Amino acid sequence: MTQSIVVQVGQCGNQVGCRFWDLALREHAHVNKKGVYDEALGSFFRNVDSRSSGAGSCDTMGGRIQRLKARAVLVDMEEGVVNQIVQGPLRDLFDTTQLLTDVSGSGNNWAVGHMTYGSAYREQIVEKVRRAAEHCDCLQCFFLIHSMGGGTGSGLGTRVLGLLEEEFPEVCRIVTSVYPSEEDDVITSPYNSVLAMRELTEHADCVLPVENQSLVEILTRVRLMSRAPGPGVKTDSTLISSQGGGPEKPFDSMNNIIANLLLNITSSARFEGSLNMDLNEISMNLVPFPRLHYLVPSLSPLHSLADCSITPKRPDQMFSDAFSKDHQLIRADPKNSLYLACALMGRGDLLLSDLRRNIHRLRSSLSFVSWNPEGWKTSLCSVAPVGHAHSLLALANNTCVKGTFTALRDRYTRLYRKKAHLHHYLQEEGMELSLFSQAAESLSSLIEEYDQLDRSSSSSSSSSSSSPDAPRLQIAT
Amino acid sequence: MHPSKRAVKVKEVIGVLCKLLTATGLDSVPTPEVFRRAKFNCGPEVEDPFWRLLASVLKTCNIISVDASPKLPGTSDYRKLVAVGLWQNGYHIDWIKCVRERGEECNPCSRDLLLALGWLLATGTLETMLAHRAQQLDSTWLEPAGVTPPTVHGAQMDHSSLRKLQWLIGSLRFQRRSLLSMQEEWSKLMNMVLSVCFPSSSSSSSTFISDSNSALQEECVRMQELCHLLKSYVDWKHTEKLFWAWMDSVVECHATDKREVCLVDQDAKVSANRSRAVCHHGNQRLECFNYMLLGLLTVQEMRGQRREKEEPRRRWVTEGDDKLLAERDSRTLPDMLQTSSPLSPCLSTHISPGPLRQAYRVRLQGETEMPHSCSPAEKPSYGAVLAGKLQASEASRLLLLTEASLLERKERCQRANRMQLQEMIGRLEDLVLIAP
Amino acid sequence: MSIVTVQLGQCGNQVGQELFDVICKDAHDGQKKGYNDASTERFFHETTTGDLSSRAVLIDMEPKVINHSMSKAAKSGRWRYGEKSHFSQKQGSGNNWANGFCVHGPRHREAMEDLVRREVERCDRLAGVMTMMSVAGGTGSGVGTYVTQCLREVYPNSFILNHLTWPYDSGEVIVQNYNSVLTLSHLYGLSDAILVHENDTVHRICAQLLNIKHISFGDVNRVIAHQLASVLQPALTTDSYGVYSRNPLGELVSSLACHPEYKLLSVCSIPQVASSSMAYSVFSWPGLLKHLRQMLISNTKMEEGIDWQVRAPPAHCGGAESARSFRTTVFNTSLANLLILRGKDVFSAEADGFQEAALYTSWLPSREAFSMWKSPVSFNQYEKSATLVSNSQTLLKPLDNMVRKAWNMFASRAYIHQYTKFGIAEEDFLDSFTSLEQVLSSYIQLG
Repeated sequence: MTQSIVVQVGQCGNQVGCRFWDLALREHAHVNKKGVYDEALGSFFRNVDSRSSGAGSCDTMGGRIQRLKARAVLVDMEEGVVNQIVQGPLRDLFDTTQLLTDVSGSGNNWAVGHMTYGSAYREQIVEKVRRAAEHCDCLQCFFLIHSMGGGTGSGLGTRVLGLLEEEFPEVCRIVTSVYPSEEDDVITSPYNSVLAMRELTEHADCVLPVENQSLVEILTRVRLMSRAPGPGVKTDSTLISSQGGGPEKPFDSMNNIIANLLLNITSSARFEGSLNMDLNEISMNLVPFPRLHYLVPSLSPLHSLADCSITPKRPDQMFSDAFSKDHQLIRADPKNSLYLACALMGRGDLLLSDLRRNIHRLRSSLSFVSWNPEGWKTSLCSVAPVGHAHSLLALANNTCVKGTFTALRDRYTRLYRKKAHLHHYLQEEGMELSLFSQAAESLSSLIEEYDQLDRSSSSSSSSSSSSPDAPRLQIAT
Repeated sequence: MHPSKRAVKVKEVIGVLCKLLTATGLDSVPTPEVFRRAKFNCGPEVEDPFWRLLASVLKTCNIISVDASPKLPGTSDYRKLVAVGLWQNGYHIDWIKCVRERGEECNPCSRDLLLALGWLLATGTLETMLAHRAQQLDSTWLEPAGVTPPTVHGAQMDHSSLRKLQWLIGSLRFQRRSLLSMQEEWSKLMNMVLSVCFPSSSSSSSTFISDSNSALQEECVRMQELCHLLKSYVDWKHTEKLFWAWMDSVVECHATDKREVCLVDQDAKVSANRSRAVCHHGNQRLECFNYMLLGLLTVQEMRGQRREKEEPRRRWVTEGDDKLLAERDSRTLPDMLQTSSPLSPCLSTHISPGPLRQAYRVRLQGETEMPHSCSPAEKPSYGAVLAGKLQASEASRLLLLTEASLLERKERCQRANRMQLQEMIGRLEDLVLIAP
Repeated sequence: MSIVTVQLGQCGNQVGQELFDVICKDAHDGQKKGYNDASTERFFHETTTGDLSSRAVLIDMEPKVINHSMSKAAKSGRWRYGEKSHFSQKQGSGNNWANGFCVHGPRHREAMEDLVRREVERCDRLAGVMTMMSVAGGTGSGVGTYVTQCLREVYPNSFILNHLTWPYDSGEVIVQNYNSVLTLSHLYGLSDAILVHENDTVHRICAQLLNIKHISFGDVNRVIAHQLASVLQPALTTDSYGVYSRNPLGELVSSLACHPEYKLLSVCSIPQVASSSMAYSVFSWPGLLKHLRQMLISNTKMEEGIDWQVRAPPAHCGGAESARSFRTTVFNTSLANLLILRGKDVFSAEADGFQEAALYTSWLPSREAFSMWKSPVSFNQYEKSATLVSNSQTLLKPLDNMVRKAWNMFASRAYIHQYTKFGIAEEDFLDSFTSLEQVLSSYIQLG
């Protein structure tokens, strides 16, 4: 069994991470009734001997659970969030050796995070990650969680990404990036996001973009539904509830959705199933070209996430939802855009025949790129999320993601045209004006690549209903 | 080495050959002593066994027919038959012509016959006989498809028959594999039977033998004979260098005698022996050399043609040899390079005894050595060397050099061979069955 | 003689477990000693404690499936896997053939070869090696190909049969066509014969013949195991004179795949019915064989929706003509067929219909092209059953699809970077495409 390490950077990253650990613990507690430290637990947790405070580990499988430690590194340049975590209910999960904080923050400035703190804390970050890696028997994946808008998340977060690539080139890097809303209170967020985008495009294996705005909309819809008459609240659902994680904080519901995304994506690697999907299969199947590794996530069910147990979804409805606009974690409509590839990761009592039937049913309503008309990757994990019979996560490599990028570029251009706040960036050591233009160029060319795919598909679909095959090799007989 | 010691050694080596010849199924093999005496022309009581042996070898190899042969070695018909056989086998020497034409008047001495035998052995008859015998003994032997494949002209070979042919080849390949695995199992079982039967044949196992069917027993005997045959051949391969060295000395004797004759006949200038030779006054060694060269030229041509025909028939033997040789080579490579394989390219660094030695040794050893050491590409250069002319003085110098180095190498070879032999025998003792 | 099975990857290890299960169950239900012994010798050895231990080696790059298969076997109570005859690592090949073939295979060569050698040495006589794997993923296909290559080197004179599971048309792995193309092209040079099961076909059998509502991988694997076992269980060949053939792989390969350009074998079995309706079904040999024959010539892979209009052509027309229109012709030309009949009154069954020259390609006479095995023991609870192993144009279409899709993807160079990362270059892809186009062209020319 392989292990993964979560690296959470910045305020947002740490808040999402906190929710992830809370829900992961509950999920395992639900499955693992005997309190035995097994391989499923081992993928994200260490088992530490309670007598020898943290140093002595007893990671052997099958032993009693002593004290669980998260395989995580927490990085923030201010103390607030991390302090809350280490004083909160999850405090036992983390050692001080896993934490890295500063007091002064990054001032919403990518350059401060990336350049100044990046250089100052470089050794310490590498040291902490390496220590976490040494506890792993077979390290497969890094999950980096950060936001794109702030200074620490975007700046230092992407710096950490580069360090991971440098130090652990073999280990897969999956990044969860939270994109700022259009009306973000951080005025420099377009700069930060665009500068971070270039790093993501160049150094990540997969990026799961999540938009704040989209999460807000999902929650609004869920609240509406929860007011509808229904039989009470499900108590043990892990989906949105923050029960056990302390008093609910403003972003907790939103962060729970992201945490669930991470739980689902790793479920097949943690639990058994008739069709396993390893983490390294995600990028293998969904990333046809190295730069186009942005995978749009969608989750279903989302409604019962609200703990209002509406009648459980039938599997077929769940599949339809996963492709609908309302269930995407960014504001985009994949159904009206071009799919390069799509993964469906089912959990619970879903069967192979459910997968096949629904793929067959939905295929005609979706447009796939001509060379990958059957670009489906599926997996089945037999363990359902707590409180549900089944759930479904779809990851779409779809050109609809370019909408988010274009909007971002537009806001960046508006700001950059006025040269607003540029001097704050340029005064940081190592920061140059050319980095701005390079980042903008990188983003533009990324958008252009998606555009090109769209254009080629629309031209081929207009000429004939089915795209023509590439001329085959001829064998002389 | 002390001369008497060497004589003992030679007898041993000839003994090995005799054992091998007997194992191949020849009925009249002279004793080693007869061989030794034959070198010195010791009269009819030595000649007769050799006539018989020659006839027997030629018969076994189907060079002369069995029915046609008269019983008594003394008769001129008998001798004519042998002579014809030798002639057909490419041994074009004067006395043969003489015997064929004039019958009894011509009386080759025992040394002539010994040389003829040497020729036969060197041209591969030994391996042919071995193959015959092995075939008789080995019940699993498959006739290597006696049918010559139909000559295929490009135009006749259409797509369909090509495919069908490919299918059949594939089918044969699979059959071969199945047979191989069957044989493996069979030999495993055989081994078990042998180990049960023989270590304690006196006790309860004897009843087992009598109970088991006689075919199995026969098979056992045959297998043992086959092993014996192959073992004798292995022994022979390890000692044959000595034998050929001895043969060389026979040739030398022969040549010395001839030279005397040559000197006597010089004035008369009518000698059948020298019809094709040129006499070099005052340089006897060179004259002998030339005599041999002339003989060899024709021999080489003949042999070239013959080899092409014989190749498929003899392949299995050479393959086996290759393995043995490879084994041996891997152990004493430097030694081998110097002592054996006169055709080895490495020797070109040695001044020029190379070509001379080639011409000289090849007559007796060439056939056995060539399949391993001489790649087809090398063959032409061979002829070229022979065809090239040598200055008399140069040649005599080279000859002297050669003689010296030959002697030296002979000794080294003997030493090395003995070592290898002992080692090989040590290993052979555990060997019960030799899978083909 | 015994067969050593090498199970590779998730699919190989699951199907393999089902296969041994069927074989063991069938042999013990049969109650015929000769059959029972032959089957046992073929697939199992007895441990010192008297248990049956399969002659199998389990290989995967992650431990989950192997553990599952081993415990399932142990739970059966009839047989189990050898305690030490498995090899697994912690991290899978990530659906990447190049990762399996270039990285995992070479890294663990010694350990894997050792396991196989141990099983081979346990056999009194080795009939051959059968590898079981899928072509879609990374471990089965990549490591499987590498292992086959090693086996060919180590056992040059043994029969090697590759059992391949072809993926669903869509839905399992996106790069499955790349992986399949790389696997097939490499195996074509190494294997003696390649026995193929298509998931799509088997899935349809589950749905339509066995009436399974919610089809799981277990159902699919059981059908594959049933068909495969019906081929591999002991049978009497024409020249075995009442003794069960001792050389199953050799006989299979030499009756079907002697030509180096034609190595793809497909299997179909009849009858296949839901166990609930088995009691009400009565079958006759002429009826079964008539259906099976029509399934063969009309290229129908199960006993439903058979096109009875298809007839064998009266005489052979030129190969070139039919070659051009192979996608439209319905008649399925065979190169060679092997018919295996098992059950009651088997010696009364006549298979004249399979011996017609019109069924076969023009250059191979039907007496070479057709062979038949029989066994009077009924198989896996079917009173009578017939299995046809066919080297015919049946797999032409799925193979063509596979190559076409992979080629389309290759034309835009999609996913290539994932392979070059591990050392498979564009040229290697081109070589593989070329060799498979050659295979396709050979099969087209059969007609």
